[in-house]
Amino acid sequence: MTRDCEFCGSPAQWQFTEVVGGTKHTVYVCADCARGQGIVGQSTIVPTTETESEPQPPEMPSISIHVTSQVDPGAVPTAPRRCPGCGVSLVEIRKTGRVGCPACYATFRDHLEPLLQRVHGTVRHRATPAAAAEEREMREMQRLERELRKAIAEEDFEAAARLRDRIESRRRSPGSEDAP
Amino acid sequence: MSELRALADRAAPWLLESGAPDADIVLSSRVRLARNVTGWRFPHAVDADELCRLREDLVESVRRATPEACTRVHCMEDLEEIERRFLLERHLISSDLVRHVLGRGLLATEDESLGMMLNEEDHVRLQVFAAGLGPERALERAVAGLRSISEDVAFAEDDALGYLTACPTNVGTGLRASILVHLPALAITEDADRVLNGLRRLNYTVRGFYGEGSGVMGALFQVSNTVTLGRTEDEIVEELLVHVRKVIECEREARTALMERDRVRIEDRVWRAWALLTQARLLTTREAFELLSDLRLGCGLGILPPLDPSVSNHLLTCVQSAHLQVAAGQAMEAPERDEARARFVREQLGRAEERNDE
Repeated sequence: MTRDCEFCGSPAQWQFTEVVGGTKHTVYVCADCARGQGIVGQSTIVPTTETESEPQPPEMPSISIHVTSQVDPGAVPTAPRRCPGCGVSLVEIRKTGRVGCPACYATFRDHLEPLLQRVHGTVRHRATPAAAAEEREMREMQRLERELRKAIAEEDFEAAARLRDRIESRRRSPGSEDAP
Repeated sequence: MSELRALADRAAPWLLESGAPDADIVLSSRVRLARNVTGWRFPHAVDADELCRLREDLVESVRRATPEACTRVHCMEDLEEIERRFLLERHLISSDLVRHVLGRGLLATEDESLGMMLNEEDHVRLQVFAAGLGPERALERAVAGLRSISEDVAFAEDDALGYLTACPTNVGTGLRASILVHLPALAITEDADRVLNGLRRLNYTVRGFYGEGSGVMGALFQVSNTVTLGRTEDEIVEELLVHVRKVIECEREARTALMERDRVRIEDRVWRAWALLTQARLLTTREAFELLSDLRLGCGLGILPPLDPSVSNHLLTCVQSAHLQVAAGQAMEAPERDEARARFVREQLGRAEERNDE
């Protein structure tokens, strides 16, 4: 199976297993990133034949990387993927530990989700119920206001009047069902 | 240095509040919420001119929404390094803002209980502080503060991921709640590591007084959440409280056990600390922190006359290097600082003793 390099998105040639604080995580990398992008610099690379290191206390996770296999020795490096929002590549994200802009989260979702899963144990946000309700209310108001502007633009004044009443009644008591 | 100099001889007013919950063991609680403005790259990917423009817009928005949060406005590039260190020692800014200045800023209320770092790792990092154990109070204020600002500024968010931050470790709520605890008995019995490693295994971060990368001084530990995604703000704070309460319980038990087993050794340690603090002519920061830790413990155990925790908080704040220098209005070399520190502590404890005699 072809895998993308976790650092730059080109086809991976190597598969590593990281042991961080006793938990295993598999990383796919291309040859360039394996050599040059600092994962090697701050970690010890140990051939798989050696025994796993003792689990470390999580505060200072020393990462030991075990080379397990060369997944695709013939993979041809491609130009690294970049975020259309800010031009940042995965290599840069890995280097700084930061993404460049909000759009990076959508661009690199497939690479960021495993990281989020590891750090937070989930990839889904849960808003406080109050905040979620407020949020829905705000979106609903925005939607009604958009419809109102559209109705006015189309000179559908009957619809506009109805919409204006609904907006007014929501403003008075947020979240209430509209009067028919 | 004039504006900040007026603050240098006292700790932040919120920290001097007496009667705060669990103040014998918990110094302070802090809640930080990270937000970013939609349509902008994160600060590290924006050039200095643009950062300045964004900072101006943000200051204006905050001024409109919560004018009291703009009582203090500082552009980092207008401050001397020693002044930035001073703000760091007051926990109002991070070491990131000591190093990176252009386009970075700080807003704060008069009493310094609410501060906002602008263009740190994220565009907005709102912090609320409370004395003693009270992260839920701080959270409430922080959320209310951001709500009023968000009427004017749209923050970047995503249906699935919540609030989007420069570092994926903060995504979701952008919330970091931290509690600064004083665990001298656990440190003496060498149980601190065992207790704190338990917290680390549960995915909490435990660090020293100055946070990231700092060593432990004076048996002071900061405990904070690591997980920011998948839980609501209230849940994060409640869970942290449950665990910190257990740690407080362990510390109280260790104190009782110490007094039963090793009373004379503890009394000796506390009185030696008192002797040094009231007589020494030179004190390094580390030594002052260690001795003040023993002093606080001694007062808590009734070995020394009671000293309000707020007095210890005041001392811990003002003995720091940048505080001494800003108070003096000049840069000082280490030996001068050690002398000024020892003098300051002698004077303050002398005053506290006079108050006790009255």
